[in-house]
Amino acid sequence: MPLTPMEIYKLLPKTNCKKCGEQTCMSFAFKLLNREKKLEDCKPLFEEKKYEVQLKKLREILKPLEKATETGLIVKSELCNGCGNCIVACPVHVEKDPHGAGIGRGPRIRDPIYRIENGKLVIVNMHLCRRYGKNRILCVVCRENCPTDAISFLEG
Amino acid sequence: MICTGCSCLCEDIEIQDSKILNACEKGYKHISRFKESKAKNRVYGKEVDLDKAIESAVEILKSAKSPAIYGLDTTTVEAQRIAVKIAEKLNGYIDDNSSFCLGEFVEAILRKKIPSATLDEVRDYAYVLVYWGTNPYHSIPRHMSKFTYYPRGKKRNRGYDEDRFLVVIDVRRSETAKLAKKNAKFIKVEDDLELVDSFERALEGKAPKYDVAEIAREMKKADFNAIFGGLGLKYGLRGNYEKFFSFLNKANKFAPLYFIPAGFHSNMRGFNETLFEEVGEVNKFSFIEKRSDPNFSFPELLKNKKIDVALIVGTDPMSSLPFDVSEKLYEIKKVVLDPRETFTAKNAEVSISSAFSGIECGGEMVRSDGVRVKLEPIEKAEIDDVYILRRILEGL
Amino acid sequence: MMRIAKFLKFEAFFVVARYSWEQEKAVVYLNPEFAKKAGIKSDDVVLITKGERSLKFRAKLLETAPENGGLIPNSIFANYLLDFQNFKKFNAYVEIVEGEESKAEEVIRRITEKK
Ligand code: SF4
Ligand code: SF4
Ligand code: SF4
Ligand code: SF4
Repeated sequence: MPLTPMEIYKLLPKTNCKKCGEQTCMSFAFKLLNREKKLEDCKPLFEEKKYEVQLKKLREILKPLEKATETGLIVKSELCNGCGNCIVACPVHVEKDPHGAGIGRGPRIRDPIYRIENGKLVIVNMHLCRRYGKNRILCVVCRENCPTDAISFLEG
Repeated sequence: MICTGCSCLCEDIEIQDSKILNACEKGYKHISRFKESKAKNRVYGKEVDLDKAIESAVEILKSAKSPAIYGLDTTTVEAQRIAVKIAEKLNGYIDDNSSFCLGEFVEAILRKKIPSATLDEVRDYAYVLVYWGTNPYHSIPRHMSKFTYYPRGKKRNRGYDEDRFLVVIDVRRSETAKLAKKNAKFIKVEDDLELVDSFERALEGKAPKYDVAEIAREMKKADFNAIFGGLGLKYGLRGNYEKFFSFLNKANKFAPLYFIPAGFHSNMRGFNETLFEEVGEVNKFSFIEKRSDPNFSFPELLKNKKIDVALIVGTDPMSSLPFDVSEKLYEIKKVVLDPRETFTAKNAEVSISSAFSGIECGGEMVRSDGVRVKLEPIEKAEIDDVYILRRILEGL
Repeated sequence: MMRIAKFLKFEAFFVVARYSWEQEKAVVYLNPEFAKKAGIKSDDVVLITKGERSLKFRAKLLETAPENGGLIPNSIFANYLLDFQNFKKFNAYVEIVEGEESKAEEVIRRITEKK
């Protein structure tokens, strides 16, 4: 199940004290999910004993974030057989690597988003992904074309 | 280098900082494990040197009353040619795995009974792509990403969701079937012959039993469509190949439709083509009777006790043939040529250790669509199939 | 705890196909719906019987397996149960049993001992 800001919000102090630099706990929850903030930025959570249980729970539900890349993308290697569908289907590869991944070959550009190493998909350069940065869009092309659901996104 | 993990023969494999790039997992395992569990030179269970092993192999073959040569699908065209000469010299049988794999389809293509095309043409021009009785995700993993559905091609440059129409036919919703979403169709087939009928009717504008009218319409829109047929199609036709071939030809009156075998061992098509060049048949051939016959397939020869010796090259029939056939392997003498210590090699009268084609030695192979590929090995083994087979031939 | 299904044999439809993982072991991939019906859980050991031959497989669940049964990867184990008439698909019985999945050596022994 993808993680939602709401689930995170429910476990925060909900005081909107702004110590984290955000206006509200809800907006902190959003940024947390996008990995623009760290849990440690919410000082009250750590300083006040009454939040101990909530903090523990938060750490638990945020675990997948550690594995995920900056775009919220997770690759389950054990489900991947290196078919390359995701690499060739990715619109960024098509545009930037028309003589490599765009026509089905292994990527020829220096820093593709993905490539296959030792039979498994690895992420080389997430910065090219459309889900990255300020103007990101919620592209799901690679996930949609993986026959074994080896690719997933945190935000669904 | 070229990957010889399957009949896609992907040519874009690179090795960088001891990482293998671009090969799928199947190819990676194939390439990276070539040093593991190497076969030994053995005669009646005792380890010997190569000369002794070849000598014993020649002896056994010479004393054979009715020998067969079998396998040859993972070796090079050069080795296949010598194997054909050995079979001729011995007046024996020669067969590969294609007799129970996609041999009938390759034969029809070589005899020009059905129209075929190359995978590069498919990438550039094909619109409707039909995967029939095959799940490329597991058998030929990069087929769809490298050649058919996903890559952009000359005339198909707008991407899979607009420029291709994907059809997946299977008895179950396979991994490949899951990809049939937009501009696509999955057909759960119970009776392949009935489905062939349905396609014919739909193309003629009549009501079909299976829901294929949309597919027929899409085919008529395009100037290039392709069917990739696998073992599910072969066994689903229950021997009625002619019906399928005639459907392909009829279909071509309405819209160009090409057939390409979906894929198999790295050089199975090479075997079919090599034998076809030499004797005009693609498999299950007898040099005594100078003809091909269903009864001359390796499994049938074993079942009917027609052979007493087999020279087995690069295949492991003890694990890859059904039990009622594999148990018969015990009644004949086996000379096995393989880089890997297989079950058959372990139980053979003579086992000779060879090299992995494409990794340790070069040569030529033929891709599933008939394109010839020069291998680019990363090592240079002196002792390979060509060397060993040549010496056996000289010994005879 | 004993499960009721232990005593029941279920008729099932099997497909033999290439599969990327675990060809070296005797594994059968059952359709989750079918497994539920038959009371089989992931990692149970099941006996698959076709005609006179049977073999033990480790059961796993797989969504893409055929509805009324499962998928057996193309392997020495599948081939032990097969013949050319039923080369890609066949019907067989499946039941939960004790013990471990069959090993390749065991199959080879059965081939070699039957002279
Ligand atoms: S520091 Fe914590 S409690 Fe304060 S506003 Fe931010 S999230 Fe809410
Ligand atoms: S999310 Fe889109 S842009 Fe990013 S890697 Fe996947 S397909 Fe490419
Ligand atoms: S599509 Fe899925 S299985 Fe194929 S390479 Fe990408 S992650 Fe791996
Ligand atoms: S698809 Fe076949 S040839 Fe290509 S990398 Fe995979 S195993 Fe090798």
